[in-house]
Amino acid sequence: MQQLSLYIEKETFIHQKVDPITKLTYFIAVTIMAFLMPVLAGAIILFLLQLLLLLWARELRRAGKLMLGILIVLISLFIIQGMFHPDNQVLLWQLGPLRFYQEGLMVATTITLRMLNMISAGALLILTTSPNHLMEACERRGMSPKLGYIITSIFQMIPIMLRNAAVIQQAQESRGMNVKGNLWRRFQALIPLIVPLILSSLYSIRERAIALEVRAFSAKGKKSFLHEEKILPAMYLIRLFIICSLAGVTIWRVCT
Amino acid sequence: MIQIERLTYYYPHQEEPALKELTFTVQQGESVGIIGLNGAGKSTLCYAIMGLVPHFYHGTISGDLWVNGINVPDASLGEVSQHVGLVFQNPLHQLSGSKATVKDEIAFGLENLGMPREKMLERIEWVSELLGIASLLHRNPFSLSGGQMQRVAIASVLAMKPQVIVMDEPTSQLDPAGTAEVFAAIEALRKEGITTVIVEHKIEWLAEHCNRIAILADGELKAIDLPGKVFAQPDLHEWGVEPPVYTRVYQKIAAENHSSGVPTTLKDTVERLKAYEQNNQG
Repeated sequence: MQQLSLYIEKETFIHQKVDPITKLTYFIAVTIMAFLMPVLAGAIILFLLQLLLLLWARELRRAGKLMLGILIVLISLFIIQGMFHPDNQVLLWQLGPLRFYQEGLMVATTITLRMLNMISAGALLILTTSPNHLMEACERRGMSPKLGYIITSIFQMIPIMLRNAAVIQQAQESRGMNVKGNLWRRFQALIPLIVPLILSSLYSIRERAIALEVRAFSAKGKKSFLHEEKILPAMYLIRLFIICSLAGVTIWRVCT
Repeated sequence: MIQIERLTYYYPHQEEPALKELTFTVQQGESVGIIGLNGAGKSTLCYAIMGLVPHFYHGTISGDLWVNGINVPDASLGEVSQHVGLVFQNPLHQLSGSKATVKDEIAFGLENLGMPREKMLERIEWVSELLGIASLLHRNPFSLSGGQMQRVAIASVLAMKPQVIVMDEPTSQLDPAGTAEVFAAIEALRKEGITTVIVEHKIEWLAEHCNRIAILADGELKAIDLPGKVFAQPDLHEWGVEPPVYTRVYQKIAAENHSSGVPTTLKDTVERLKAYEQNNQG
């Protein structure tokens, strides 16, 4: 069955040896650093570091696809900031009536690097970490099991709902429902699709709620875990290094 | 093990009771099949044994329902779930939906109970061997066939070691191969001494795998006895129940006095028909 999660198990150090909390710490720290970094060179170095880590995890290609997803946003950003930023003064180049200014392009570059740093750090987390392992690690540290369940079940439930929707659509089409045509006709076709989908989902939610109760989902007391949490001693050092780096960038930002 | 006395239950805002003055007992290790028309109260009885009636569905309940020494209507659902497990019609709806492997799925309830890891692994090994799903432990539960998925659902409940397992039409959405897989699992439970209450429309399977059969009609218990005795009852059609096909074949051929019971399985029917033929020849 198709999975919603982007995680694919691979035999790399980052996939297998770096624990989810270290990756989560890295993601949060890099996201904050991306915004606090006072100089452009620092943001570029941070981004290059991310590319190296993605390369090491053999996820550079898939992360690149995620980054390409915001290409249109970035192009628009460069056009708008380059041409219309209020601080624009130094004309860098002109293409007919289009005038691009240095100040605006610098702002666009800063924002772009922030976004790319965030996306690549996020990619490193979600492409190399099983959502179940991440939630389990968070639950061990006090996150509500109910919240953990909601998040992890989304990854399984949405593909199931999509599969149900496809079955309902086929059933309705076999009874003469026309899903092709103009916008209004397509909208009309949504109703016989959505109503049974919602009703069947509500029914399955009720049954699943009972099934969860039967399996002691609401049981009081401390939960245990099937999987052992293995954290390499080096990971604590890495976490410390990440936190120190974040503190360093914060101080640098405050002092400049 | 299960003791029910004058159990009556009304769903909220309903004037007619879903269960009327039910009285019967189920012994430890016994397997009881429950049959009847839709709306006869079969599923409601399952929910009552599980404690979902009245704790989940609310409504009004009277009479006594004891499972393993616990008065179910007075006990919490969490308490009852340690003694009774429930398996539903649709295996897709009873998987947690949050676990990526069958092994993790079976461990879900055990984790909620806070069971130590080593004990969880023992339970998973025991239940997967018992139900023949050891080879599926690393598969995604949603990628399995219906029969396999239902066996995983049973395993997930059984891993919690309830003394009673209640199954509400566990094969209604399965093909013949899936049905056979589930009844093989039920047979394994029976051999393990686990009490089972099974609601099912596939009467032939029930007759073969249950010690006793109970018939419900309009919320009332009409009969509960050995399969051969229950299906020999003259009022079956009034209660909306057809005897197993083997019984009907036998009754067509050897339409005599059935006071000593009728055959309900293929093997019994063949033997009884052979005996009938020999008597006639003699």
